[in-house]
Amino acid sequence: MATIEHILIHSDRDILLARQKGRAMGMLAGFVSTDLTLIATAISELARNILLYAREGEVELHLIQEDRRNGMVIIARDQGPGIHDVERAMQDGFSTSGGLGLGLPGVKRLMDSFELISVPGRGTTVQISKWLHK
Amino acid sequence: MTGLSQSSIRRRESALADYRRVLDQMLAEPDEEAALSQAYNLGRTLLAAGMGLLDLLDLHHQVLAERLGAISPPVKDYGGSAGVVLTPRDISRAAGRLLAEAMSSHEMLLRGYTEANDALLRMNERLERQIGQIAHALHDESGQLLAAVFVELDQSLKTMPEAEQLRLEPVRELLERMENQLRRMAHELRPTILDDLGLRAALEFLSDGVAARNNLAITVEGQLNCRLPPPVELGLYRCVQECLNNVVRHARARKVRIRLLSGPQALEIRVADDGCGFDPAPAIPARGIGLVGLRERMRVLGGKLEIRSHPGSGAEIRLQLPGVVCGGNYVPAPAVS
Repeated sequence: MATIEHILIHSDRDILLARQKGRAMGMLAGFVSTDLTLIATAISELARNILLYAREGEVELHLIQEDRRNGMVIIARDQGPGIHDVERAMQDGFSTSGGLGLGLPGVKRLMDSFELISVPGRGTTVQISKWLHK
Repeated sequence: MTGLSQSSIRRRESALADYRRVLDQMLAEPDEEAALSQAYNLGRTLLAAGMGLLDLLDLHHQVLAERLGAISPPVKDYGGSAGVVLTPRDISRAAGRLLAEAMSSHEMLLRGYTEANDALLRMNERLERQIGQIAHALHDESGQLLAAVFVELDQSLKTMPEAEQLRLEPVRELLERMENQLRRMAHELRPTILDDLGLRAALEFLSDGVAARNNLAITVEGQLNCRLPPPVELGLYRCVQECLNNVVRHARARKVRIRLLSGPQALEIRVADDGCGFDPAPAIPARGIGLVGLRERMRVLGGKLEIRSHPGSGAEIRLQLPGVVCGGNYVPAPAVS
């Protein structure tokens, strides 16, 4: 298992692949099965946004270690239309889930860190990470 | 199954069919991720369609029971090797993984609510600290300034002829009234009487002050047979305070009746006025933010708010706190959405 994986996202099938590789990498890092579910969920939500808003993009997975602690960084990148109002996009109720707080705000809550950079007309990058809690 | 509408039965049937399909796929295919991903999407869709967690669990149990009952003949080859018979353990394990996946969206939702609730509690604490600071400024700092004014006044009076002294006497009286008012306001803001004597005494003290300042008749009736945890008592006190603020601001009432009712498993405080009333139906009624804040406050305490009012015929606000067992322990009801 490589410590970096690139998955191009063009279709639902690619979301599957990204989930599968994310789960495998998470297992390698030592995450328990509930965390693996959350990692797969976060990948689903990010990849789903790529298909929905940019039609294509990529998901990058990194296995990392810091202070002898394992973790995973997931980066979702697209060259889509970008998000015009990031603050609003992070509010529950703005997303396509109809106010349930899924989508981006949901992903943020599942992870240890969350960063979003979006340039209107140029695209969006979301970087999230999860650490193994000892 | 009584009480379920045709459409909700149909919705459940179609959800059951989806769940069966996903579980069978999970059991049949070596590529589990496809089934897990579908389980996730199913859970997300059902959540968005309004299905609750217990309904999802119910669905899961039913499908699992069906598949465990229909265990032989072997469902299909599994893991690519021919002739593998699925044991109940295989099925249970697969179903468990599937359920976790389907519930993942609920986890996001739950974390969202927990976060919002924590934020409300923190905001409440910050507000209480600010109220404390204002009370301190009113009571101690303004009190000291006034004391200094009294000393100055007394010294000036000594050097004055008696006729002048008499003329200043009303000034002294006004200052004394002001001092009393400030002290009173400070105590209403930060009711130490609440800690010492309990909710009923604190509400009486509050009512006396509000009544005197606003030319209202306010009565407090009923009794609580128990003490509640300090944050709950303070929360209820703040709610009644807000109710009285609303009455003063909007109701044009003459009488207000506050009743404390404690049943075997719940506690209720009713604040009724004989004012102009309002229509409680709109999402944000005419009384606006005050009521929204009140509702949020009750929610944080694990209780709820009921409004009874019609334009022209007064209003009654019922602050309800279930889970209170007087004479015993206070068991907070979980905050609900």
